[in-house]
Amino acid sequence: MSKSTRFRDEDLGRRGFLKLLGAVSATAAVLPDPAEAFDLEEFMQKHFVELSPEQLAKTLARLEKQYNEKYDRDDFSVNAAPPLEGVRFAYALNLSKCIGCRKCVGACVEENNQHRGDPDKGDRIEYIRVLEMEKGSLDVEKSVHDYTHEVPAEGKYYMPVQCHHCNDAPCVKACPVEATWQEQDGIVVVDYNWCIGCRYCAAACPYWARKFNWSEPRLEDEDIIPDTHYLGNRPRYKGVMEKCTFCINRVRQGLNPACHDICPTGSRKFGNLLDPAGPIRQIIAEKRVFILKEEAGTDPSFYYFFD
Amino acid sequence: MNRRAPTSLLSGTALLLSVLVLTALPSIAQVTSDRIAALSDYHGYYPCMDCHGDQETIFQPRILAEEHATPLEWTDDDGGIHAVPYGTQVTIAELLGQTDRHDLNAVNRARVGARVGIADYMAENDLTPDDTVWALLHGGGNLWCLDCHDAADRDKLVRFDGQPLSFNESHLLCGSCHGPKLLDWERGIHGKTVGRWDLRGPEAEEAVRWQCVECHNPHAPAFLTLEPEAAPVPRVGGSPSDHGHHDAEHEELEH
Repeated sequence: MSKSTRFRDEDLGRRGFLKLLGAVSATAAVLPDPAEAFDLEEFMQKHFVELSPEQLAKTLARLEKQYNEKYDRDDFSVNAAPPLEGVRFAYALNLSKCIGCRKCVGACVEENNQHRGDPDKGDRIEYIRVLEMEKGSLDVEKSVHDYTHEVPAEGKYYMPVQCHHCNDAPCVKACPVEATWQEQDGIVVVDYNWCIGCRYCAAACPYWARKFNWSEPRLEDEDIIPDTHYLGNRPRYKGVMEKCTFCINRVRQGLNPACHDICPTGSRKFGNLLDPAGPIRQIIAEKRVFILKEEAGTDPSFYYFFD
Repeated sequence: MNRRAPTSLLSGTALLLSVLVLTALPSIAQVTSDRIAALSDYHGYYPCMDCHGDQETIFQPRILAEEHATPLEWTDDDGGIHAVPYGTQVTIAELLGQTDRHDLNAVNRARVGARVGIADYMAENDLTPDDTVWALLHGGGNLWCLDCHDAADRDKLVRFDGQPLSFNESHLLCGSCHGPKLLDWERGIHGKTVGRWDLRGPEAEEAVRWQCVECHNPHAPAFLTLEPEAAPVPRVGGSPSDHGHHDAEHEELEH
């Protein structure tokens, strides 16, 4: 069979047919899904911080409609609660108390509507990674991430790492389109509708806090938390970056982050850095506090301490 | 130059700070109807409670303790449910003798050495030093029931100085030995405060500060190990510390 005749019906053998099928599938994969109709409003949407109140209201309504249709529900709400006055959020984690049970990881995935694919393939987005380390060492390069033995293990300690909401954030500086920035209350956020998916921010982050949606996020109906924030736990898109937002949908309502409340040992402390009587300031004043990778000069809002 | 403040000034400041913090925080023991309703779930969990109604006013399960060591329960011939107490059986002579084996602090030595109520207990129950009692897995085996429970009124706790305490004030009993931890707890550094982060706002009452005994079983405070949640799975051919993750679609996007 010559090349010039390979696609003629009468000459198309089994092998040729499979090749053709593969070529067609590959082409279809890069074309937009016809079910996802092109939305001019979405395409023309401005950057989040430039939206007027009217435009913001329209955007939130459009997203709610979009999510309700996509997930066949009627209870999605997307809010854009602004930062609270006089509040600068900070987190402190007691390494003497953490037992490495990973309950924070699970609570985070549930609260933030994170992508949950095949768990056997590790196909799940997790904002928190718990490092198991030798007591007396602070070498994260030698930490173990995938331990399965009972915890806490003899001679080990555990260090959960997530977004540190840096005040001099390398990820913010790396983003070429300003799709990620730090809010007035200290939370570093991502506009999922502005992110172009270049992943420069993930490369810049020294804490490995940013997670990329390589595939279309999968979220089962029973797993959905329908009360969402525009900059937080609303469903994401394929090809955009996401990260911990201190559960922005909760903390701007006065609630604690999900990882904080689930922690069975009370290792996690969250509060307003500007409140002198709050736990964060008490910890900074009283305990042996350190920040991870201080040499990176990131000035994080996340502190570790021992007691 | 000696930069240390006088001790009296320090302790006065600490006391003032504690009072200020305590008054500013939401009420510590919030006994909700939900918690009381949960009492039935804990039949046999606190054996003393079967006879003494006011034994536990906070019925929030000790989440961490339960996950670490679920109490073994059994049903007797009459259908009664029992739980294995958190302790070991020792003779009274052994219990008394143990006080010499441990380097207890002065307060604890005075308290344990006095063995509050043990003589009365022996007389009431016609016991000899060879009879056995429960020694708790707490305080190096030096503690027994009446070190913390009021011998005269079992619906009360008792501090080492004889001051009776309500079960709602159990943190003061714990703090009589674990003072620094109590101070940390009062300031929100130790323990759990769930619900809201803003403890000074209008909705601060919704924040709940967990009591010591809500996490720690006072009869056996040491935690055993537990199974962690599922580990993150590395991408195929990678190590757990590799960036990104993997599936078929990812490869499509990457190539």
